[in-house]
Amino acid sequence: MGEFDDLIQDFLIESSEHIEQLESDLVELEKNPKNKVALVCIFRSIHTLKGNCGFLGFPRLEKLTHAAESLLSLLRDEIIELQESMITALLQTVDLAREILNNLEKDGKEGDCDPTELIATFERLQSQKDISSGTTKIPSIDGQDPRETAANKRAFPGTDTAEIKAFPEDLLNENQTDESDAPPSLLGQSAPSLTETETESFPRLPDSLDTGKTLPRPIPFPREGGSQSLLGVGEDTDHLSSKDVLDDLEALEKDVSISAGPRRVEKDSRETNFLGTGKDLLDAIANPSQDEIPVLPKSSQMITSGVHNYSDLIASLRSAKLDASKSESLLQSDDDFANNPVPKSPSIAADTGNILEETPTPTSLSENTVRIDLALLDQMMNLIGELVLTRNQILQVAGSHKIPALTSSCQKLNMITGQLQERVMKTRMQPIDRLFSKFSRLVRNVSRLCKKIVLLELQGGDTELDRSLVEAIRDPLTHVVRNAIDHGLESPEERLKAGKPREGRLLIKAFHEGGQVHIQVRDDGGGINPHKIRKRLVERKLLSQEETAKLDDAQVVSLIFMPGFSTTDTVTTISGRGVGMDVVKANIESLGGKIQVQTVLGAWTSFTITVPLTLAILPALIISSHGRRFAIPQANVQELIKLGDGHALHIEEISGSRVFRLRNQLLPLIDLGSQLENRAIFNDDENDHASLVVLKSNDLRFGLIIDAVHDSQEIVVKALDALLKNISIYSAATILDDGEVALILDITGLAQVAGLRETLQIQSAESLETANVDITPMLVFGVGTHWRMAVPLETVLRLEEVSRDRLETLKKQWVIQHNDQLIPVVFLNEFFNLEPDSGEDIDQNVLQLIVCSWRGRHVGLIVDRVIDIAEEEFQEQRHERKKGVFGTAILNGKATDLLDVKEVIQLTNVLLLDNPEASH
Amino acid sequence: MTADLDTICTFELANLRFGMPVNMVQEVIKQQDVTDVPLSPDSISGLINLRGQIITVVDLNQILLPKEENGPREGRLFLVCAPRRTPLALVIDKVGEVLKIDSKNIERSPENLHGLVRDLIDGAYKSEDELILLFNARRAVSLVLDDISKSQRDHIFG
Repeated sequence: MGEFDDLIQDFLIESSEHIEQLESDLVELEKNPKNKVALVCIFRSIHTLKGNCGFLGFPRLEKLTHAAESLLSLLRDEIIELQESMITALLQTVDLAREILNNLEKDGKEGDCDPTELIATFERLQSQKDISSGTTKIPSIDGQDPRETAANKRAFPGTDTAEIKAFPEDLLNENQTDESDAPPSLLGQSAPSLTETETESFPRLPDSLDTGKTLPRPIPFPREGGSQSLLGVGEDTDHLSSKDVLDDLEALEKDVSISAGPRRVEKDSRETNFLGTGKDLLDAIANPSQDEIPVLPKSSQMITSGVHNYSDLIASLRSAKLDASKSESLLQSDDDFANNPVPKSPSIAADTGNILEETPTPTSLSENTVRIDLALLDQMMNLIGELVLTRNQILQVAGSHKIPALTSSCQKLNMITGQLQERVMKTRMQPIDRLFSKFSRLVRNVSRLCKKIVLLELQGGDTELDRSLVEAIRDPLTHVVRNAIDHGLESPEERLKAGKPREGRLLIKAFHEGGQVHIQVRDDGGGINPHKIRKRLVERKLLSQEETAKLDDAQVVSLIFMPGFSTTDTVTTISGRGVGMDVVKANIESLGGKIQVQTVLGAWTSFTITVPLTLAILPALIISSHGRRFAIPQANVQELIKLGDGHALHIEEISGSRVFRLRNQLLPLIDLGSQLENRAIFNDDENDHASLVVLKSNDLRFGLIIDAVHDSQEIVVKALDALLKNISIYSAATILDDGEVALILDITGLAQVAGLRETLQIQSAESLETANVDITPMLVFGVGTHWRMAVPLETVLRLEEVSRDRLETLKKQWVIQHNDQLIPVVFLNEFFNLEPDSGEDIDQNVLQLIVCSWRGRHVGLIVDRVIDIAEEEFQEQRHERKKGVFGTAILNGKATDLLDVKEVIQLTNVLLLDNPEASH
Repeated sequence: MTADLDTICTFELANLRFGMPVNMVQEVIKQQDVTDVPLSPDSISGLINLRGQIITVVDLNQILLPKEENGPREGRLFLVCAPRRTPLALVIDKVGEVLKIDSKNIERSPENLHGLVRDLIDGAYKSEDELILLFNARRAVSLVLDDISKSQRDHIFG
C-alpha cells in the first residue's frame, strides 16, 4: 500500500506540473493557433495524464482526459480547426482536472466533480469535424503545400468510428490531387476501392458518433507492456471495436513519440517497457510511411500511405477483434506493412529531424534538477546560520593567536562559509515565471468577461525571488492585473474612438533593482481620472471638497489605496477600480514591500510593486527594552529620535496618553516597556536614556519609546512555535550575531495591543493633508534681528553650533574644517548688510552654521538663529527682486523669505572647494 | 503510541519520575541562556537557539507545582522532544536511564493522582523499585496551550 501511496504522490506532483504546463500551452496556442509545437505539448500532457489515471484507477479524470485527447488528436491532425470554444473547453478540463487532483490529494478520492458535461462538450466539438474538415480540407489539398497535404493524410487518428468512414474520402481526394507525388503503385490500387466508401461516408457521420458517448474504456495498452495488452484488447470483444484497436495503435505511437523525450524513458518504466515491446510493431507500422510524416500520427500514416492495404488493415483489425486471443495476427498484418516497399523521401526525413529538435521538451530540465523538500532547505539554512556563528568564534580565537597557518585556513573558512550561505539562499529562489504563466490564463478569462481584447506581454519571467514571496504576491498582483483589464483598458470601441488600436496592451514586467524585485503592471488604457477620484472621495466623505482641491492630481490618484475608498457601486464581477486596493497595499506592505501608481489620463496606468528578494532575510533595527533585545523590520522604521537632547520636552500628555510633537504634528506614543512588562521606560524624571522610533505600518504612524538602539542588521526570519503564535506583538524570531535569540516585533500587532488602532485611523485621515501631500519641508532661520528666511530642508546637510575661533580664512574667505574637509562659509547678515542679532541671550562666540549642499559642493551659512522646520504647503510669491532672495512665502504663519543659495554663492564669489562628493 | 513504548527514557520533573518513548526524545542538553518572551505564560520559559533552530522551552513545573516551590533552580536540563513537527524543549530536573519495559507491567493512571498530572500521562509503569509515569508529550503541549488561554483570560479580566 505504501508503494502505491508513493505512486499516487508522484502522480499528483507530476500531474500538477502537467496541468501548469497545459495551462500556459493552451493560452499560447490560442494566441498563435498555428503553433504546432504547443499543440503537440498539450496533447502529450493530456495523454500522459490519461495514461497515468488509467493505471492508477481514477475513472473520472481518465474519461475527461480521454475526451480532451480525442478532440486534440483531431486538432493535431488538422481534421478540424481550432476554435475558441475548444480552448475554453480544454481550459475547463484543466480546471476540473486540477479540482480532481486536489480532491485526490486531500482524501485519495476523485470527489464529486462531474466531468460528464464537459465530455459532452468535447463530443459536440468533435462532431463539428465533418463540417470543418469539409471546408478546410479542400483548399489545402488543392493547394501547393505538400506539407499540408501530408498533414491531411494523417487525418486518421481513429478516435471514433466516424473517422474511419470519413477517412477514405480524405485519401481519395489526396490521391486525386497529389498524383504526381504519390507512388503510382499506391494510386492504382487505392482509388477504385475507395470511391464507394467516400460517397456513403458523409451523410452517415452524425449517426456513427454515438460511439463517442459510450466512451472507450481505459486503454490498458501502454501501461502493461505491449504484447500482453494486445491480448487484453482482443479478449474483451464486447466493448471493443476496430476503433479501439486503432486507438491503441495510436496510443502506442504517441507513447513512442513521447518517449523521444529523455525523461519519459527514464522516469516512466511503464512506458519504457512498452517501448521495448511495442517498438517492433511500431517500426513495422511506421516504416512504410516514413516518407510522409513528420512526427506523430504514425498509425494514421500507416493507413494513408499503405492505401492499397487499407482493406487488409481493417481485416487485420477485425481479426484482432474476433480472433481474440491472438495478438500475433495483428503483428502479422503489420509485418505485411513492413514488407511493403515504399520509397523513402530523404527531404521529409530531414524535416522530421528538425521538428523533433525544435519541439521543446519541457521535461528535459528535470534531468539536472532534483526535487527538494522546503523543510530540508530550511534546515540547511539553519545549519549554515550556525556555521556562520561558529566561524565567527573561530575567527576571533584565531585572531588572538596569530598562527599563520591557522589564519590562512580561517580566511578560507570565512570565504567558503560566505559562499555557501549565498548558494543556499539561492536554492530558495524561484523565477517569477511560475506566477507569470498563471497570468496568461487569468488575462484571457478576465478579458473575455470584460469583452476586451488584451495583448499580454510578459517580461522578465526569469527574475528570481524567494519561493514564499512568489506565493505571497500572487493575490495582490492578481488583483492589480484584473483591475488593469477591467478598468484600466477601454473597450475596443472606445479605443478605436480614442484613436488607439483595438487591442489593449498589458505589460507585466519584473526586474531586479536596488536589491529588490520590482513588478510593473502597465496598461495602455484610459488612465485614472483624478477628477473622478476627487468626486468619489467627497462622496465617500473621506475628504472634503476643499481638501481634495488642495491635492494635486498625482496625490489624488495615490489615494485609491486609501482604506474606505473602496466603492460598492462600481463593483463588477471581476473588480471595481479601487476596490480592495487598500487591501492590496496592506498585503504588499506586510511583505515589506510597497506599491505605487502612475497614470497619464487617456494614455496609460502603471502599478509598480516593489518587494524584497526574500522574506527569509529582513533588514531590521535591533533595539532594546529593559535589557531585552528585539528586532524591528526596517521597512516600518521612519526615523529615530534620541529623547535625551531636550526632545523629551516635546512629549505631552493628553488624558493619560502620551503624544510627541514631531515637527508640529502629534505622534501617539507607545512605551515598549509598559507594553511588555508593565514597566515604563520613559518617565518624566529621568528620561535622558530613552529613544524614540517613529514607526509606520499600514498608514498607522506612532512613536515607540525604547531604551536604546543597537544596530541595523540583516536578520534571518524564523517562525515562532505555534505555542507563541497568539501573542500578536511578535511576528517571528531571529538569531542575532552572538547566537542569542531575539523576537521580531510585529508593528501592527503592537499598535493594536496598545489600543492605538482607532485613534490612529483618525490620525491617518488627518495626516493625509500633511503626510500624503508632498510638501517641501523648509528650514526656517533668522538673519539679523528679526528677518525670517528659509531654505529647502533637502539641501541642508547638517546644522552645527560652532565657536567663532573654528573659522579660518583662506584666500580672503571664511572656511571651516569638517572631517578633514574645508567648507567655505558665508555670513548671511554681512551678505544682506544687516546688523547681527545682538540680543542678550545670544553668545557672540557661538555661531549657528547651516551646511548646505549646492551642486554636490558644500557651503556653510552663518545665520543668527535656527528657528524651525516648516512642513506645510506654501504658496511661493515672487515680487520685486531682491538679491539672494528667491521669493516669499507664509511659513508657520509668518512671512518668510526664501533664500536663493545659488545666488548667494555667485554674488559672494565663494570659492567652492572640491570635496569627494563633487565628483558624483 | 503503545507500540512505541517498549523503550523509554526516564526523567524527573516536578518531583515526579516520568518516562518518555525513546524515539520521541531528540536530545538532552544542559540548561542554557533562554531568551524570555514577555507576555507569554509562566509555563513558557522562553526561546533557545539549538544549532540554528529556535526552540520554545516549556517549564511544566510552573503548571504542576505550587508557586512557592517554584524558585529558579540551577543545573536543570532541557529535554528536546518532538511531539509535533517542531521540537520542544522541556525543562527537567534530572535525566534517568533508558529502560526496556514490558507492556504487561503498564497500568492505568492511579485514580488518586493529581489532576493535571493525570492529564499528562498515558499510564504508569511498575518497575522493580518504583513507579514510572508514562509521559505523553502531546498532552503536555495541550496543557501549555490551556495555560496560555488561561493567562490571556487573566490578562483581559485581571
